[in-house]
Amino acid sequence: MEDLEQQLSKLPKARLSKRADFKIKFKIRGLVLLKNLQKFVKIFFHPHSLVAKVSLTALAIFVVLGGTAVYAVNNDQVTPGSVLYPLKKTIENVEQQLSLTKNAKVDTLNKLSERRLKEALNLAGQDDAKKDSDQVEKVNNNIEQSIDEAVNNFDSAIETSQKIEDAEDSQKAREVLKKKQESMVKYLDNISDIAKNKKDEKMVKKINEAKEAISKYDQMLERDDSDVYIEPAPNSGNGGVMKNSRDNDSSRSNNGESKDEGNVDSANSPESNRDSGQGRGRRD
Amino acid sequence: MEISHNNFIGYYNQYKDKIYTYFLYRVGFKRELAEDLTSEVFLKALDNFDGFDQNRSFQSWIYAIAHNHLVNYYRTANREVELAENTFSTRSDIQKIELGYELEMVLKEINNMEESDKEVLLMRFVDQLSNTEIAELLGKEDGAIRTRISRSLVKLRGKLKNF
Repeated sequence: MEDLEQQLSKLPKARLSKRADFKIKFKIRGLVLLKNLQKFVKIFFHPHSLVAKVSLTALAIFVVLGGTAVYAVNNDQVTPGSVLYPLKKTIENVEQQLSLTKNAKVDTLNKLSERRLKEALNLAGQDDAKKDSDQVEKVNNNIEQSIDEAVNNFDSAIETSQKIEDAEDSQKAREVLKKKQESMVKYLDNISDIAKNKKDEKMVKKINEAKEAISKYDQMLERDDSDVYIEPAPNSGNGGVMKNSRDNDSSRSNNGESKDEGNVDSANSPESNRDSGQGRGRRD
Repeated sequence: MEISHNNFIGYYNQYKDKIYTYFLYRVGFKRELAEDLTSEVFLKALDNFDGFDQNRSFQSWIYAIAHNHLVNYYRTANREVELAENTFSTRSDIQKIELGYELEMVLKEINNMEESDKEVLLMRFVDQLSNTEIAELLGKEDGAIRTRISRSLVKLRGKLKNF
């Protein structure tokens, strides 16, 4: 027999079967998962855990602030002068910053215009009998401020819509603005009715100015981009023609070049609209 | 500290066959039993992995767990006598690992030796543990282990003289 120690070293070394290996690895993975889960639970649910305390406090603050913010933004009772109004305005600023496309900006500005008018309507609807003269004046100032802001937002929305290069998107923006303009006029009419009941001439005048300001865009909003200006053929001697002649003069006279358009403008003036009480921006 | 699954699986892959071999030689080459014991040892190791000092040898640690597990296994089921009587005792058991004639005789004679001689020889030549590791596992001095291995080899040589 050869050297005994060598013989002993040759005794076979076994290999674990693949089936057993798979079973053990499966059990190991399960146990690792369980242990990590236990650790997670221990860290986050232990009453004295700093992580748990900080997390729960942060969560509570987040829930309270988030809830308050959502309440403030969506509630028209949160008006200028209210404690939550600055929070509402801050969130609106963020909302504007997050509107990345021009169409989104137009939508946001429209939403803000309507929100301001709803606030103004709420303020106007308050019972002045329960207030002293200072408070009434303060409320009126807030109404005026809200109306101004609504008009400014609408101006900005119009301005933004004019920068939209894509014809289809531009048309969509104008349609949205047209609807919003009509809705704003309705709100202003309602506030005007309340002001008239209160015999507040100053407020009525302010509302008329606002209506005038938003009606100046009637013509622009009426324009239809399906009107395509066709370039004249070289040396044809003719000027270009509009493919859709239905409204061609209004399209060209957007900048007030046409005399006729001046007449249309005057026919759609806020005064005449107020007289008729409807159909702003439409040609009769 | 999060348990590093990959870290443990790395150790497992390195030592799974060694621990399986350790059990196989000590439970009469009963493969399923050896597999079950191997599985239990690695799960026990994983359960205590947080307490494992990464500066220590994993081999010493896992063999210590395996050794204690085997002792407990014998003790709890009172199997020690039964296993001691049956380990490698039959030709069919030995044939399970497909040995040559000489190795078959060596293994049979090891099995007939005293438990303490058998253990040190298996640890040294099958599990290929160092004298220090064996000493640590059995709670003895290095020198005592060296002497015991030497004496066990002399005894085994004596038994194999006739072959």
